[in-house]
Amino acid sequence: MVLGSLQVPGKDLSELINNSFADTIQNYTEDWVELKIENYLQIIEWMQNDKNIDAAQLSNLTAVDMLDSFEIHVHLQSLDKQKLYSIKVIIDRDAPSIPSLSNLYLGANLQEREVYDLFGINFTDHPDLRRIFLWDGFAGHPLRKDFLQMENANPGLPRFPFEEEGKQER
Amino acid sequence: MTVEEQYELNIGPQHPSTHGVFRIKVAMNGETIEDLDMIVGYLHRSMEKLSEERTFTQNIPFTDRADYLAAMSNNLGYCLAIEKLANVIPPQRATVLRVIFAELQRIASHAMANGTLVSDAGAWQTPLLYMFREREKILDLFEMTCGARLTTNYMRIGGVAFEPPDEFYPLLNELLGELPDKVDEYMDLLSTNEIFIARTKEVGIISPEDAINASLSGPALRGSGVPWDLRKAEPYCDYENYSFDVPVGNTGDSYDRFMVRMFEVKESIKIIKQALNELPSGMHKTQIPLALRPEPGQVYYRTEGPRGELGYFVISDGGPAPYRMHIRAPSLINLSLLKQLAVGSSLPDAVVTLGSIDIVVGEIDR
Repeated sequence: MVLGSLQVPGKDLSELINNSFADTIQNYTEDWVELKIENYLQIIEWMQNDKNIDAAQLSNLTAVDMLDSFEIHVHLQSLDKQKLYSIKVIIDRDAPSIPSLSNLYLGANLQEREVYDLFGINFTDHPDLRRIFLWDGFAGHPLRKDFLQMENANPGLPRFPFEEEGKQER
Repeated sequence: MTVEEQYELNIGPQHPSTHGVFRIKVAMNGETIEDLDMIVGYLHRSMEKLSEERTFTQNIPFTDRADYLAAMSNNLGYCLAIEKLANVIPPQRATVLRVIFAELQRIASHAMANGTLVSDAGAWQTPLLYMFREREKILDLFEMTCGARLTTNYMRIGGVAFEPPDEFYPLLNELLGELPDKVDEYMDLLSTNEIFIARTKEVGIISPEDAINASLSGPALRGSGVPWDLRKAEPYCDYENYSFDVPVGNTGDSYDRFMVRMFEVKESIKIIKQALNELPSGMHKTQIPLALRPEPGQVYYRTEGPRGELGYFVISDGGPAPYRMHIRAPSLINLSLLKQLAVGSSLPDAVVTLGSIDIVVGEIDR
C-alpha cells in the first residue's frame, strides 16, 4: 500500500471514529476512511476538536469523478501529533452537494471554490461560492470526465486557425 | 465637513506589485481598505485535465510550468509521488543530486521572493538586483546541467535526466563559498534599514492559530512561529540524514517572513555542502518502462517546496496515464487569509503583505 509516513492507516482511524460514532463508517482501506455524507460535517468537526486526533489543519480538499458518482477526498493533519488523516465521501452525481468545511477551516474556502468551479459540486453553507478560475457563464465543468458531452461545452479549435485550407498565409 | 464615500480600486491584472497576472479589486474608504476580492484564473491552463490524457512521464513538463520559479521542486514532488505509486526506487546518487538541485532552487526562489518584497516596499530595483546576482549563477548551473534555466524538466521517474557536467562542481563550490557573505551583505543592507523596518514590521500580522486554521504552509506558516517543515516532519529524499535548522519568526509579520526566508537560504547552503560531501558514485537513473502503468491506487505525496506544502494527489486506474492528478498548490492556499489581513489596513501595507506571502501565479491558476 502507498502511505506517506505520517498517514494514519485507515483501519486505525476507523476504530477511533467508531469508538465515538457507531455505524458512521461506510468502508475503509489502508489509504482512506469513507464516511456517510450525513455524518461528514459532524465527524470532521469532532476530529478538529478531539484532543487525541487534533486535526488542526486542512491539508488538501479535492474531488474525483468516478463516472457514476463523485468522491470528495479530504486530508486533515495534526501538526502537534504529526499525523495525516485521509477521509473520503461519495456523493450523488446528478445533484452533487456536500456541506462546506469553510466554517471550520478558513483554508477550505478557496479549495472548495476550486472544486465547485471545475466539478460543479455545490457546497452548502459556503460563505462565498463563486467560480474561481473560469468566468461566470462558462459552460460545463471541465474536470468532469464527460465534459465534452455537456450542454454548450466548447471543445476548442480542431487545429490552429492558419492550418485551415486556403489560409496558409497568416 | 468631510464626505465619506466608498470607492473601488482595481490593482492588476497587469501591475508591478501583483507578481504576475493577478487582479485584486479593493473597496476603499479614504486610505482604508474595507473589502477585497481577488480575481485569479488569467493563467489557468487546465493542467489537471490535460494530465489525464498524457503518460506519467509526459506530465513532468507541466509541473515546471505550475510554479515556474521553482521548477526543480515541482519536478521533484511529482516524481516522488509517482515513484511511491509505482514502487520505483531511484539510485542513491540520483537522490543526492535531487537534494542539491532542490535546495539550489529554494535559494533561487527565496532570492526572487525577497527581492520583489523589498521592491514592493519601495526600494526600487537595487536590492532586487543584488539578490538576482546570485540567482543568476544558480540558473547558469541549471542551464549547464539540463539546458534550461526556468522550466528545467530535469527530474525523471526513477532518477534525474542528466549527470551534471564536470565544470559544474567547481562553479558550485565557488558559489557556495561566496554565498554566505553575499547573504550577510544583503541582510546588513536591509534587516536594520529604518525604512524597510517601518514598512514591514507589524504589517500583515498572522497569528499561529489563524495560520494553521487557514492551511498556510512554508515561510508564511513558519513566520508565525510554527516550526512545521515537511523535510523534518515527513522526510523524503533522506532529509533526515542532513543536519539543518528550521528558522521560525516571533510575531508573524511581513518582516518575520522575510527573515525566515533569509535564514532558510543559509540552511540550504548547509544542506548542499553536506550533500556534495556524500555524493556517491553510480547510476543517476533507473530504467522504467516507457509507458509506466502503476497498480491501481491513490497517493498523496507532499514535499516542502519554497512556498510551502507542495502535494501531489494522484489516482491510477492501472492505465498509462493518471486517472486524476491534483496539485495541492501552496501559492493558492496561502492566499486564504489575504482578505482578513488586508481589510482595515492601508493599500501600501496590503501590497507588502501580499509580497511577503510570496505567490506565483502559474501555481495559483495551474
